[in-house]
Amino acid sequence: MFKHHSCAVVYWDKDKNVFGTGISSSKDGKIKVLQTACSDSRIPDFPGRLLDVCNRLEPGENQRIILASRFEGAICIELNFPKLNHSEMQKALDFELPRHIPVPMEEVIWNYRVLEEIPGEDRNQLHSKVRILAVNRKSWDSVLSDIVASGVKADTVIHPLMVFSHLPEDPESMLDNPDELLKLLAVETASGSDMSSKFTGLEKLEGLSSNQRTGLLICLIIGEYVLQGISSPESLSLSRLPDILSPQRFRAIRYSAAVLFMVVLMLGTVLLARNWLDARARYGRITKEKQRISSKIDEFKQERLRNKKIDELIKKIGETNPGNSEVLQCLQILSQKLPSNMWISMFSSRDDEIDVTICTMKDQTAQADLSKLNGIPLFSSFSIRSTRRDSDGTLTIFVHIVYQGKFKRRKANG
Amino acid sequence: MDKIKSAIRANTKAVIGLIIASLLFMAVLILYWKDIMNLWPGHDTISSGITALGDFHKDLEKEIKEVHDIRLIRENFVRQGKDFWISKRDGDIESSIIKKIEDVAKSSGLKLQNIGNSRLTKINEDISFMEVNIEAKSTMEEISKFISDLYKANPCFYWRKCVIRPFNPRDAKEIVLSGTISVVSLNSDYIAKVLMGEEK
Repeated sequence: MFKHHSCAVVYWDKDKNVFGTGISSSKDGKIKVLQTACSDSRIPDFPGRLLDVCNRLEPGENQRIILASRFEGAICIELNFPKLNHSEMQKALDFELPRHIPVPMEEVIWNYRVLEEIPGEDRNQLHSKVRILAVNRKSWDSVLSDIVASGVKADTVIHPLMVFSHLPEDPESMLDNPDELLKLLAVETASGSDMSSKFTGLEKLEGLSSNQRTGLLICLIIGEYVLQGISSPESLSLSRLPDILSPQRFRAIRYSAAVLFMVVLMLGTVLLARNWLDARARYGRITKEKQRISSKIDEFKQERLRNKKIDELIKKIGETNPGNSEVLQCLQILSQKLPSNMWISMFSSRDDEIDVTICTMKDQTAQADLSKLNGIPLFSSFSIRSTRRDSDGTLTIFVHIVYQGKFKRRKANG
Repeated sequence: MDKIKSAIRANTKAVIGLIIASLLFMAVLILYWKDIMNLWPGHDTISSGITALGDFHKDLEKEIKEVHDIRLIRENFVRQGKDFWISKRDGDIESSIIKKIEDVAKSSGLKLQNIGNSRLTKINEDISFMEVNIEAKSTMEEISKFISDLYKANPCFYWRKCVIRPFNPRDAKEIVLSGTISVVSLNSDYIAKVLMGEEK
């Protein structure tokens, strides 16, 4: 869960000599020592030395950066507790620690690590073996201020004792003794004293002074613990680090993502704005057109209302029948269309109904001649009512004609 | 997650204010959703708007056609204004109509044997008919000319009844014309103004 493939560990001893190593886990299960760096004695101040070592390690953005320090007045004790979860353990330690730490609890900050589970006294209940490390708050603050002053960024700041599985009687002195550390490493790795079975690239440690080898060995032990991934290195920190110390990783990618997001946001906004403007414009045009049509229809209605009286009068006149104004037209058509051998002896009209008496001497062709009058559009109906033969041989034909109403008022309209 | 929790704990009042503001915003959004949607008309709103616009166009076309027809009828009516007897313009119909017919007969050379028995038939307050009986005996030419002149004269003379027959069936020289002539009289002042062009 907390496994990392590479990390950079920087450790400084009581005399503020700084040591650092960059390691990574290789495919064959060994840990490869990538770089080592020891502080330059020519740099007088501790922050400068710390920064120098960190810069020489050149940690990549994917590497965890672990700082390990010796704190003044650090107390490391191991206690057995019944197996508890984290919050219960925290409460239990809050209650128990004042009895074991000879300084007021307000003056210290502490952290714990569950080392292993052991059987309890009644053999049925499991107990936890817990290592507690407490340091003076002023000492912690001083270390942090030094780190801040150096400008180094780190994921966590721990005490080296927190990573060891087994501790001798005097753990603090062990940290200054390389032989003791090698022994401890043999126990830790369970592979004898031969470090080469666990690490590669150890030639970088050759030719170094005892002090430097000690510092680098501590770095390697811490690094091995981190790469094992048993727990997160941040959980071993005595307190949460201020944000100013957090390393800014993958800044270019983050900025690129932020820029991309901004561009997408901007394009999205432009698209939405354009969509909104288009929709508003279209809807506005529709509304405007509807208003125009409504006002036009209203205008027509007003015109109708204004002319209601005259329109009703026209309608009423249309419904009335004052008579036939086209008598002249009827006479004219009859005189034009009637064959020369026929003459009208009487014409009588009552409104649109016309009775005509037609006389002829040529009765053989009379029927055919009169049928020609049937197709005159001015007359909607042309029918022979009866005929009469006079003594002088004249054939009298009584014809009924209906004058077609639609031709009325032709004079006025035309 | 812990960072968020601690930030919330540190700014409890601000968080409560933010929650209240969010709830109010949601309430406003729900209550005024329709108005907000009008601010941003969607595809459905525009589609229904276009459909409604189509209906509006159809109504307008129908209205234009109807108004066009009515206007045409009205214009024709105004144009044929002289066909009607307007008392305001032409004087009292009862006293003038017979004289008008006599004038036409005189101009066409026809001597009316009988004219009179004028009757005013009221259709409504604005429309009435004046009917006059006439009778004449003359040649066909004169009678034809009279009918023709009457056709050309104003107002429009309608023949309610018209009989043309020879005086003697064996001799067609003398023709008898008898009939009832009708004239439409419009009495409304408003119509008179419209037909006289005083009002549009």
